[in-house]
Amino acid sequence: MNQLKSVRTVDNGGHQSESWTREPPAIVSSLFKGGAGLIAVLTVLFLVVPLVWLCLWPTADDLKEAAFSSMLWDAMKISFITSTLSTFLVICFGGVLAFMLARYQFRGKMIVDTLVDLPMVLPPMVTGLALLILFGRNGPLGNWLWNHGMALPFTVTAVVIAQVFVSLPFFIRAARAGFESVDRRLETASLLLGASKARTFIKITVPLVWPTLLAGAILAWARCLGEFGATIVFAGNFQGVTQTMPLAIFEALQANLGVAIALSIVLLFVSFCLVMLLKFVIGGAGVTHS
Amino acid sequence: MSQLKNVPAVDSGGRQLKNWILVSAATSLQYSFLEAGKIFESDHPGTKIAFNFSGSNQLANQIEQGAPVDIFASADMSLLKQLAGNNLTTENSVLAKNKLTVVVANNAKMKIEGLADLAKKGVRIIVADSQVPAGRYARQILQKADQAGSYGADYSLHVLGNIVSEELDLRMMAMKVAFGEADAGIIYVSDMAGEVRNKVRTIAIAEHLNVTATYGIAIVKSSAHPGIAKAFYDFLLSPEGQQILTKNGLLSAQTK
Repeated sequence: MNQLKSVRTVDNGGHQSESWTREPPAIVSSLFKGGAGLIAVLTVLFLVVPLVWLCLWPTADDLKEAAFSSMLWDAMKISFITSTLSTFLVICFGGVLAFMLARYQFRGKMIVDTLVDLPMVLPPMVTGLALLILFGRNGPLGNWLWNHGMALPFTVTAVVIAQVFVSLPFFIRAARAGFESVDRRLETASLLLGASKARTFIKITVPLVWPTLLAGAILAWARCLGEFGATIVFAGNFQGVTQTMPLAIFEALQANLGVAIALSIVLLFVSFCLVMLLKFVIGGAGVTHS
Repeated sequence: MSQLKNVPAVDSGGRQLKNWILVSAATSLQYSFLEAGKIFESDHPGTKIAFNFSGSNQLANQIEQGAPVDIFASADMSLLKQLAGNNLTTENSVLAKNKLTVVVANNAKMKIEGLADLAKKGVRIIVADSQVPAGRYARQILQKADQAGSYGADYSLHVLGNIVSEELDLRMMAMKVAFGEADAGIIYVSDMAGEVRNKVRTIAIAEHLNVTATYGIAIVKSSAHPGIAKAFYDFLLSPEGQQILTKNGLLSAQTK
């Protein structure tokens, strides 16, 4: 362990002061570094080895069967369309809310803040159930829709609703932090120079928070791609309509483990690229992240 | 979605503790197995039967990947043959039979009186996915109906066209019908043994159109307690065990 040595010094006026030297003995330091290094390596291995093994597991036949299955391409299409649309909706609605949370003080803000985070900790199945009993044909909203000739469960709209619900907090958190970090003096200067509020927002605020917004949007998109529990409960499973990649993987799991894993690899690869893109965006903007 | 009931105590090495066995069983066996487990435990003080209910295919996958399971009960005999072929089980037997039934919500939005109504335009039907045994049986029933010609030659085409979801969990499927989100579904008769029967009604499928699902049971070779496993296996196949199964909507192993 790192040991800090207390050093007492007496200054010219005879006052005692205490300071801490930041230099531990060399042996302790290298032991500490070695220990930390070991933990770091083990942690990375813990995260990486299962995924590497996943990629090595299927046979060439499994991969071929997965690649030529209509299931894969249908699910990729549905996943791509729904998660992109969901992310767009999340940006529009979540962006406004994030801005308000960052800039305005209002009564009950703490409660709104907590509620917005709730979908992150809620088991997705519970989300699906909640959506089903509200938007279902016998739910208060669903019943009204049904009387107007619409039913949401088992439709692609239900897939999007489930995705928006679960991914909103990811975007809102990022966007809010972004809006809070903007140096308000720049906006004030723009307003003083005669620019309108809207022009200031578009020309000053948005360019400043742009990387954070993009990072939040990519996170939300990735969450949409991985969404399973709420979708299977609320939107059901039908190839070419509501069957997204995670549902296709679950279906394949009922028949052929190899094909299920091959499909997982595709999803893993797409997610990896998304997260890499995220790092690139954040890194490129010079924003530090914790 | 696997549900672990009474998860067995496991020591730090991951070994199951004394006198515990883990039974992996198809979801449609849940009611009868929970009851049989309780009776077996009271007949054999000190033993504990833990259950892992899920889709048969998924359970077979888990056993092939080395899950510490003692008994496997499948809704599909072919999975048992597959495990036996891979030398993963010691003995196996036919456990029970099951039939399928159409289930309709009490508050269904469409009037469904008989099998013919499933082909009506706008009926929202959910069935099990074709990858799971119940889904295959449902499609076989539709094909038989086509061949019999009772409901017209395109019957199965119309019914398949009304399917809004291919569910992977039969319990969830029954729940969705009970909620009235789907107008009708095709499930196992034994799935009606639970609380769901208060919210739905069944429409029997004629004998000549119905399919008989054959359930099998096997003792897993790597069982840490083959003695207890064998005793529970024998209990389920005994007249007393079979009676518990039939009480919960299944048919006995001897049914033709």
